[in-house]
Amino acid sequence: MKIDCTLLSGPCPFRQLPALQQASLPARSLESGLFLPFEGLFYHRPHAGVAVALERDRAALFHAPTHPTIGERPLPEWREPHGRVRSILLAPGLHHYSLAAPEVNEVVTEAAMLGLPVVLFQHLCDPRLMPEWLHCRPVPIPEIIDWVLTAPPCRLVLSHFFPHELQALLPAIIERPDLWVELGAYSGGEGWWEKTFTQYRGEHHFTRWLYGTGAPLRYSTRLAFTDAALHAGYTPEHFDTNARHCYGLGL
Amino acid sequence: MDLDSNLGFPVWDAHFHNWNDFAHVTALRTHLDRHRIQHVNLLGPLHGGYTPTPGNIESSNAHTQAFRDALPDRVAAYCYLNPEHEAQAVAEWQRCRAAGFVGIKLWVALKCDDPRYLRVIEKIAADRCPILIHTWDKAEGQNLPGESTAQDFARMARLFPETRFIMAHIGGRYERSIAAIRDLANVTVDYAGSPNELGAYETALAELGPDRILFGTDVHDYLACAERVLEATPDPVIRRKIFFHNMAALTPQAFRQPSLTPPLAS
Repeated sequence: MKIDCTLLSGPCPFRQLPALQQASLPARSLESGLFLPFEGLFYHRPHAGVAVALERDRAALFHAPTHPTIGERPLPEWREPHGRVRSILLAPGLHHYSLAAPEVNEVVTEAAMLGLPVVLFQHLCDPRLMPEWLHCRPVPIPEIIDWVLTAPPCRLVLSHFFPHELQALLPAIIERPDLWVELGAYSGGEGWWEKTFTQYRGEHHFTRWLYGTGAPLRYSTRLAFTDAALHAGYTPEHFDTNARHCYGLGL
Repeated sequence: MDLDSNLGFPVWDAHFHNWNDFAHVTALRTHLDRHRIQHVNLLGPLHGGYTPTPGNIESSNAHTQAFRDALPDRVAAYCYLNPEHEAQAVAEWQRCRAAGFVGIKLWVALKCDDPRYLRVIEKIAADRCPILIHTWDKAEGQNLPGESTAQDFARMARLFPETRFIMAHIGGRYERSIAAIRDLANVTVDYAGSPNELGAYETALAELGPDRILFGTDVHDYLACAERVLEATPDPVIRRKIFFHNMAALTPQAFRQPSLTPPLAS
């Protein structure tokens, strides 16, 4: 299993961590996945931050944080099949808007036309380390369920959700055939991944898992994830295959 | 690393609780056997919330003792105390010590530089058992009233230079917490129940050296926690220290029979 679908990059405004130093980014294998730039999350206009990240790390692939309610839309040049933006990422808890805002599904429609998935990003980091001044509030589960069930056709990804939130979202997850679930940032404790994989596959025939950790701020490791997957009957390649399909990698 | 969890050397989980899925001995035994964990410090189910009564303390320790009695060669029992009840805390430690408990666990009833806390430590320190203290440097405003930061911990540990302390969770925000206790040779850290961030062990190795770091999980995913250690250093001697020998050095009398492990290669 090689592809980590969410790796953080760039300067973090609330932690000074060596693992996030710019110099370390090239050393983090560029074949290991997709990067989520802190600039894209924290610039007043996220796309300005994405542009900085694209310029700074010229070989990396990125999620593009997008703020629908201040007028940001997926850029036409991101349609390129070998382009370096591989998703439109929505962070409503951080950027303070509702998924019910009409602009959100306008973005989803435009992303779909460009062939890009839309990632719904819930928790940036462990709440114990999230500074108060960010006013980061998780999106309420009913709001997410409504959105998942009514958003236009598009590959959707749930990223950085807590285990209990995913459990509450289960009916919507299994209802929508183009929805993917990224795991790896959080865990429900010893044995949780294996139980989850087994339950979803056996009871709901759901296999659209992605591996994404939010490293370096994150919890999981490849070994732990692979072990759980193997015990639940998956191969490690399953997750890479899903990542390639969802994000158009290697196409 | 072999995917059947065999690291190739022994593991001592320095921070574990008998709660939730591990409220029964069978579950703990299965977990230890599956991952070939040789020993575990059992810190108790922590009955009674943040400020337990003496009754809560005693019931928590009774559960721990039952697990230790069922798995005497695997479980190192730690005595949970609440220094708010000074006399009871000292008496409870003496009772547990007589029953073979080998360490003390302190949580969030009081900050560790509270005078009551300090008086209890002064009385129990003579037994020279390690004292493991929950420590978390959370983002502003999030610490519980009795939850110690690394700075609180450092102030306390400095007062008892002969006492061996374990700063649990590496203090949470490792880049600040490690700096707070860097110069305190009587302080060892465990990185258990923390966000398991890439870089924490690396920073601890750089700042504290290989002899002051313990492996622990706090009932989080064992393999995820273990792989962080493997990522942090390729050196097998350092790995063995973190996974086992540093904890063994803190409590050499924890088990009736010496652990059947090869000596650490120098």
